Amino acid sequence: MKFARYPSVKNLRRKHARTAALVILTAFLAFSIFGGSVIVASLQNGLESYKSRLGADIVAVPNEARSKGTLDDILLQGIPGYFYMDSSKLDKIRTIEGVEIASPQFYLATSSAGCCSTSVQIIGFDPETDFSIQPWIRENYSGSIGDLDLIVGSNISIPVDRRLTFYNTECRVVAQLDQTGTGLDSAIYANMNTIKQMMESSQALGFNYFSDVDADRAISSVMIKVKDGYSVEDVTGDINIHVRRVEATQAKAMVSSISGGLSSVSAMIGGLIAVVWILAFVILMIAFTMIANERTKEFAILRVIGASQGMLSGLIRTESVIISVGGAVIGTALTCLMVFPFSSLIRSQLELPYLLPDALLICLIAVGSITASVLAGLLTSVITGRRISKSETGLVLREDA
Amino acid sequence: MKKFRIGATDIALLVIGILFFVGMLLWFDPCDHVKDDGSFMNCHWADVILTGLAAVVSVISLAHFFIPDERMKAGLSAALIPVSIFACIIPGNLISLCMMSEMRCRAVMTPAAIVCAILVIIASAADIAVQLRRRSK
Repeated sequence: MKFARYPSVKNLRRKHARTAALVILTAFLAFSIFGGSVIVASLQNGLESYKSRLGADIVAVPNEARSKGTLDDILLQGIPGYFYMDSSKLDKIRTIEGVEIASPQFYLATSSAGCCSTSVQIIGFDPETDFSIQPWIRENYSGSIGDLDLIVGSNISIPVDRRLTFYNTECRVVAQLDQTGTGLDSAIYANMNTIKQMMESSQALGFNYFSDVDADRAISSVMIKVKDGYSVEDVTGDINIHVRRVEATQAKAMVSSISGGLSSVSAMIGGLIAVVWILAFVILMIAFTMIANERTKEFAILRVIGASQGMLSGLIRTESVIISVGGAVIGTALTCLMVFPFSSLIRSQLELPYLLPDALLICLIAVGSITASVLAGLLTSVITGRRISKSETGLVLREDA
Repeated sequence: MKKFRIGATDIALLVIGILFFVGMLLWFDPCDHVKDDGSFMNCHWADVILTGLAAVVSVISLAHFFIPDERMKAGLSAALIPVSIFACIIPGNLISLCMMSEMRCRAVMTPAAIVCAILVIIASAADIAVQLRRRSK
């Protein structure tokens, strides 16, 4: 038996405008549930990734960097920035009780990068002491990072010859890192010698980023690991008291400020999904009730020629399932076309860590969204079906006579 | 004389075609794409080619809308498929774009062009099926 011969399919095809309207409504419902859920999951995934990538217990930067929010811009949004302090601050930090490891980092913003009209953030680290960048470099690259070697974030496309030139310093790209969903994806990593060469070249080209700091002794931030048994809060306080013009911040505090923003965005999206679901449920309910009222005579005739009440309810349920499944699949497919290709744009607009979940979780969310949409349609059809089964056939036909 | 009949796929192709072309002109264009030395960046040329292809898609869709013959309609829809595949592979594959994935050429122009091209491919495939079925009746 051909699918098109089923009465439900025939009914839907005969009233194609009505069917199309209901399919569009269900598609919209699936679109909002799937799209919203994927965005919320990506934000949560991004926050987890940011937490794990930060690595340090405390981050110390010059005062002006924290007040301008420059560090957050670099780490979260990938906006290139630079700020410097004298490396004597690093020596002072190392003398503070409770500091286990203190590793310097150096931020350099390029003037322009190859074909791009934008600058790129270069982060220099000391391979001898670094504990925050190298662990995740090792996930993709096991070799040593030599002079003029670069490791690039996932947002940077690697040229065919793997060569990148910044401030007339030609470097070789040795590896690309996995996506983190943060501003670190737009950064390039190099050892301190490479950075020093770029600094010298930049100064020779007339760029002066260092103002009152001696370029040879400049560092941008210090990543600090606290010894076991010491309170991170106390060590942070000690650094802020004893090292002048440096502001130390607990990494936990940096994460919690983001998670606050993330919670409000997630709550907003969650609320929106709930409102859309209820709205779609109510509209579907009204639509199915109107359709059922319009078709009372049809159902009465079907009853007269032998159709049971169960068959009539089944007819409505089947129509509803076909509409809901069709709409939900279309809505989910449209979401895939909107959310996945435009993930870079969404991330930059949200200004929060945003990392798409793995394929399995996305599939589960898709199945859940389709189920929720079909459930909305099915529930309305069950309620409508019950109402129809209660109506008296003879009465309906007599009314129309 | 053939009866003029407008179907859902005719409307879909026309709407997507026009959206693709107008979008490339107004919304999906990359940043100001001029290098420091005054020459154009690669993304400018990718934009020019994509706009040209979008114009071709919209003209074919317009012709498809007004031509009543099913075989010609199916033929025009079939022609849209390779054009759309070409539009999909231009940005980032045939023409390399900017280095950063958050630049407009990679964050907006490329995904928008690919999404429009995919929609054209889906609508064209559906239209070919519709026209061939009409023809066989």
